[in-house]
Amino acid sequence: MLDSPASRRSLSILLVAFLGLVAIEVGARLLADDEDDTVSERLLEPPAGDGVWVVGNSIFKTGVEPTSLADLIDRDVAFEYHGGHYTSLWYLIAENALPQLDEQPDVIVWGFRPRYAELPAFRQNRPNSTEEFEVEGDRTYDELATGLEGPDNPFDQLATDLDDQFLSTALASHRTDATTTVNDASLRASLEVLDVLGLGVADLLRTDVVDGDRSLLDVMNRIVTGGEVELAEERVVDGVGDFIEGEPTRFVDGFVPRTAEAIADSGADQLVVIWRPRNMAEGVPYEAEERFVADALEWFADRDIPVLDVYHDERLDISLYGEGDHFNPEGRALVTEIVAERLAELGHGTSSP
Amino acid sequence: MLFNSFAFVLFAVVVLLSYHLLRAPNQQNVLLLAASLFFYAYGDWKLLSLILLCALDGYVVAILLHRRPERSRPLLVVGIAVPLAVLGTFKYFDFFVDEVGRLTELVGLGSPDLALELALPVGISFYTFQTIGYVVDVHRGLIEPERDPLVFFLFVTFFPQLVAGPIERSTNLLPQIRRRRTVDGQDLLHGTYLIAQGFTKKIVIADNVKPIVDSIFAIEGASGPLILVGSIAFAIQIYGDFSGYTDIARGIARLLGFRLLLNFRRPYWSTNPAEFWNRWHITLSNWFRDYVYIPLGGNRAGRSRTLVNLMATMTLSGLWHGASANFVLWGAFHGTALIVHRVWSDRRPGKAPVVLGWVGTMLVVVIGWYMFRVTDGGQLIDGLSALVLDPAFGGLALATLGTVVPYLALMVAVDIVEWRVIDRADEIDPSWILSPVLTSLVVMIAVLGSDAGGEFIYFAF
Repeated sequence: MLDSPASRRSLSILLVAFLGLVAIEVGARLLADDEDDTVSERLLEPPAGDGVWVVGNSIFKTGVEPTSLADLIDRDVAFEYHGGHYTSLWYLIAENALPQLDEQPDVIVWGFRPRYAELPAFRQNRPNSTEEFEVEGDRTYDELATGLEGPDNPFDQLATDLDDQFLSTALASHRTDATTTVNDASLRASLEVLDVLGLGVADLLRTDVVDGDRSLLDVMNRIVTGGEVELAEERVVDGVGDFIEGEPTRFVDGFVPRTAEAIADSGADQLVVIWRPRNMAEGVPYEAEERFVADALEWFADRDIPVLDVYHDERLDISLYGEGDHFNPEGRALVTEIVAERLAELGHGTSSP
Repeated sequence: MLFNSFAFVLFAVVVLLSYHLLRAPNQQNVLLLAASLFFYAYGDWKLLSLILLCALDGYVVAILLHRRPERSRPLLVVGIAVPLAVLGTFKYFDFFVDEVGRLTELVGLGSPDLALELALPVGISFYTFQTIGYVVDVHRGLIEPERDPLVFFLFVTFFPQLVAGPIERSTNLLPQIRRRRTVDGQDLLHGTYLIAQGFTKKIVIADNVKPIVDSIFAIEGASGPLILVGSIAFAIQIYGDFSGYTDIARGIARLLGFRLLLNFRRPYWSTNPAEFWNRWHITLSNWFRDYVYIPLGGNRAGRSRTLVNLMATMTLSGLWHGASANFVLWGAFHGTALIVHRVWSDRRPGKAPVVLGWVGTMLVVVIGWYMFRVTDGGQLIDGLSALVLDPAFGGLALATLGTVVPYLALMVAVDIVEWRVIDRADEIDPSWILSPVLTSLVVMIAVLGSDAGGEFIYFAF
């Protein structure tokens, strides 16, 4: 292997590259902030206090228009959006992030689809795993998540460990932030070009994407289609597949009641939305879902926790649905009004649209 | 097993270490065959039967071709028919049943429900073509039949290139399997570099552009500028995805002491359609040239026949990519571009200005990628109409294009290093520039790599 000058030179080049990589990793570790950030600092859109805090996934994204909701109830609305996530994440946010907030929101609007809530361990794989809001030693979470299917052989287990090791390096641990920085910088540069060309869309993109909380793809989709919400995040995750499911369980044994209790303990009011899946809009109820919802309604009623029962709301017919269980623009407008009315009934904002 | 998974990283490390601990080529081949079968069976072990059937067919038929030259024609038919039957059943049967059903429905005979709905086995288009190529090469006397089943089965199943190529030729890979292989410092450097380059193309470039492509192609009623930007982004994605796979395959093979065939040579630097096909998926282009175009008569039977042969070859090449009308259309579109280029070149032998040639070629390629990406006929027609007739949302399209620019720039940079350094590795001394470049690639993979890409696009073919 070392029998020729070219071969020796090649190995030296490889060695220098490796040493360079080690130096960068060590440097990144030294420069990294030693103090762990608090869990609440990982929130995307924390509440501004006194306002409405919507916490949810794509069903909320296609179901509630934050700006319209804010106008309807005359309150600030912040939207903590996590595409592709389920009840395990709402639990972790309520349990671990909420108590750390300096100021609690006036009311937290969150919800669930019964089909997924009955699978407490249900979540998707690594691209949006829930560990971000997890704290060590949370026995409730650990017990409920025992249904997670881990690798079923030593080879896969070793590969998973290797993956974890890689993601714990200083370089890889901030990969999402780095990609976002690159994408934001390139968008800002292209908006400058649009300004030079005098194209007015730059102002809209600055307001909604650069200063707002929407993605460029979402804004693009809404503009072109007249209101449809872009679900690229969901599609990307679906493309990876690997839904992890646990055993179905009773309502009282899942994450939903624990989330509601954690929110109640925080002192914030809450409104729990039980979503209406597409099959209900098509007039095909599932027995297990029906039972789960009945149990949920009874549980919340016993504790005087406000519920918005969209599940049985027949105004939401199939014409208001888009992709899967998601709503189209007309559906979103109606659901936003329904949420606003219910919040107003509960004393959170004005009641007149 | 996906290259971009830690299961593969672990697999590759174990195989490489074990391989270099063994000294005898035969032992190394046993290890590589076992590893290749494990690699293929990792997703679904039942699919092993198909690849082994094709390999067995090629192995037996080639030996018989040599022993019974008087029966070469029927043997050749058998040698080709078995892999084609496997490919036809799993990949094309449902497509043709659907198309026939549409015709019978048109004439009022109803549509028979004969679809098999079989899952497409990964890599089927690649290993069947590789086997067919081998049988034809033996029939043509280009190569002696391989009598060692270990060597031949490894030729068909060699894991680095098994699921998405390069489609190896018997004349290149078989001799390498037979002989003792050595790995020196240059092999280590260039193998490692190719792997890093491949991962950069896949998980930094292709997978970060993927959400933009998916989103634009999901918009109903997208305007012409948006479709153009979506197609440009897809051009970047598919190049990063496919050539990234090839780079990783060639890099792994190099670390094992093998030299796989070149599959991409900066295709977007092409200044005419013919050059593009000499730079894009080179092993498939060469396969169709040698086993379809030339047997059809190539350019030896007059001008009109040459053009017909070109169109037939490109249309079949489109069909190879998938059992769907849009792939056929894509192949025919490129066939038309090649014909126009040939006729133009014949009439005006002087070279067209480079910039003009490049712009025209890229327009053909990008519009072609739109056809390739959209499988729904209605959406395809609407989109192609919008490209010409609907200039709306230009600003929005420009802003979206801006978000693709960093990945485009990275792709160009990677191509330049490949052009100046890697492709000349056998001519010049290893360059020290590779140290910082290699470090930068690995840093980018760690920092900017996307978790969300999933499979390689060409796994679907």
